[in-house]
Amino acid sequence: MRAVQRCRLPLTVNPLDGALPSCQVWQLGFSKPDSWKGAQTLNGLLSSEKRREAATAYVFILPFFLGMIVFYLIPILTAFANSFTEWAGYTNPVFTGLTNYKALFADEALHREIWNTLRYILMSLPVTILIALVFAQLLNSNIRGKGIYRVLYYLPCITMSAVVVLIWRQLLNGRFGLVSVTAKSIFGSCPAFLSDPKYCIYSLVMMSVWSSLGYDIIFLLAGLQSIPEVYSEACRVDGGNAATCFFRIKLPLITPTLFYLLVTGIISGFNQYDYSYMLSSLAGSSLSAESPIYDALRTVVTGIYNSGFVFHEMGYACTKSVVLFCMILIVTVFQFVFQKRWVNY
Amino acid sequence: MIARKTPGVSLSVFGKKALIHLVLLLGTVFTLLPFLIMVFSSFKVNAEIMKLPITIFPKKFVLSNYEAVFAEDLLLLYKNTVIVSASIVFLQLATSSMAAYAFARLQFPLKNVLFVFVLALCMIPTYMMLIPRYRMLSSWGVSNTLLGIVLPNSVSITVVFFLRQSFLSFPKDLEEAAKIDGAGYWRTFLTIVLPLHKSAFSAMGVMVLLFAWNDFLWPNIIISSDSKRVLSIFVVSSQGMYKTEIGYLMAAGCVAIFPMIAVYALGQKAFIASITMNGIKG
Repeated sequence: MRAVQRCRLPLTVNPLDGALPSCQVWQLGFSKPDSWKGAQTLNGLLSSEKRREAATAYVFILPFFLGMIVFYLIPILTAFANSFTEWAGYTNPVFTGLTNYKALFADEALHREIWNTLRYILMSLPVTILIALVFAQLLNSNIRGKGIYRVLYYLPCITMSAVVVLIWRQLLNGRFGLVSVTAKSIFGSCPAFLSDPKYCIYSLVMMSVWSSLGYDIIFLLAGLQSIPEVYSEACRVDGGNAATCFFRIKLPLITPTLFYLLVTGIISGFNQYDYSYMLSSLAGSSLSAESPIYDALRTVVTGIYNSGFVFHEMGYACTKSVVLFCMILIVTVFQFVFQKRWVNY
Repeated sequence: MIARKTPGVSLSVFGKKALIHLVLLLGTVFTLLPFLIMVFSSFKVNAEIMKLPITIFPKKFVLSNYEAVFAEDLLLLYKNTVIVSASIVFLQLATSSMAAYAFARLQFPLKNVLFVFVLALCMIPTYMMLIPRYRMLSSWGVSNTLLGIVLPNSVSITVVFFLRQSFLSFPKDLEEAAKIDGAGYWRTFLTIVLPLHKSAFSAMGVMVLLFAWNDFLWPNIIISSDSKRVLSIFVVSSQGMYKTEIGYLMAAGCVAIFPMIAVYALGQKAFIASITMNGIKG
């Protein structure tokens, strides 16, 4: 039950990326509203009143289901089916069995993509959540202007990725960008975040942290605020100092929020496309040619885009997307299994 | 004793608060400074942006960057983006509110099966559908049209879930009273349910609007001609074309995000209210 109360609405979840609903899935699992009852009995159906209700209900869900079937179900089934074919897009798909799946193992570009995506998630997610936790905890104290801080922290989250890239390319510019100039004046040198293949993934990470920090802060703040004041008071009365109270009382109590942010963060991390695509194409590397910059920035979704729309290997792109889906599924299931170890509902 | 102790205590409380504000202000600098640099750079001449040592405030304040951006067919870009975003918001809210009402309030055979079906579909990520969707829409002849951007985004599982939760959280009494007074399902839905859940609708509306306005992946796939571009594509493609015209690019960026900042500034009260409402309700 408590899990249900902790589950909150993210402000800007891409309604299509499937990140949010995992939260709602819990809700279903834990709370069974009145309407969630077994199917109607046959007797019930026979009464004309009920039949009219059912007919109206079908009319109400018709537009939604039409959209679901045409734009979700059919494409998903097509993707699965085409993952076993060779398909250039403009030709008819030719069934090739497991050839595409075998090709995955030898595909070094794909390995590179998976490695980059994992690296990106492992670097950006913990940093974001950790900083967000600090700020949420500070905002949760009794100070003025909380609302203003919250509004300002959330501002980067409403900015389109195209502009995020525009701003950060300016900040990281090796010659006159604020970050590089500051770094040079302090450390004497600054890595070329935009043009050095060794470092350009860090620019991806910086953009991601900047643009998702506010979202995590708002979430964690809401989690912290839902902890009854009496708990912290009891901790203080028992002689705990601020750190003890935070790590022993508050942190365990917001683990459901942390878990939610972790699950959705990993899913959206696997979905990383915008920054990677924009940064590599703007660094002057065309997506069709192999370039070190693109190699360092390519993520799984850019890889799918690239295979499908640049190389016209749509069958193989579908195979890649099926594999990525399975990867996300495994990671998510793994997290749900292991949540018992550390999440307190 | 007490009188002597009080100032000391309040001083340390004051110091603690000041420290908290200091850290929070540093955070504000981190989130806001990049924006400020963009806004100030958009009023600078290019030579000043690229000059060392760097300046934050423009020494020479010019509007030429904005003139150049407005000389571009900005009206068309705005028009395209507004049409696309408004249609997506309208369609998602319309289809979702109807479905959510049926799932929350009406009884019908296969209800649970259908709901689980929707649940299962929402687990599957979008990029799996990109290529089949693209093929399907081009076979209908709507690739490279605004309709092509809108159609696949006309339904949203997330919105259905949230609205359903919101409907369920309200007592049925009002709807039952309407029913006794002889109102049909449609009338109840349109005159009782929709006005009751205004805040839920505005929260969902803002969420969908942000997504639709900012989306890049799908428009980038489906749109190929300049006349059908939306703002996000424009910002990216001008970065490719005018690499060195940074002032111009910054002005374009400001122009592209300004409407959403305005919506956020006007609607953030409803935003926060809807989060807290949702939190209490669970």
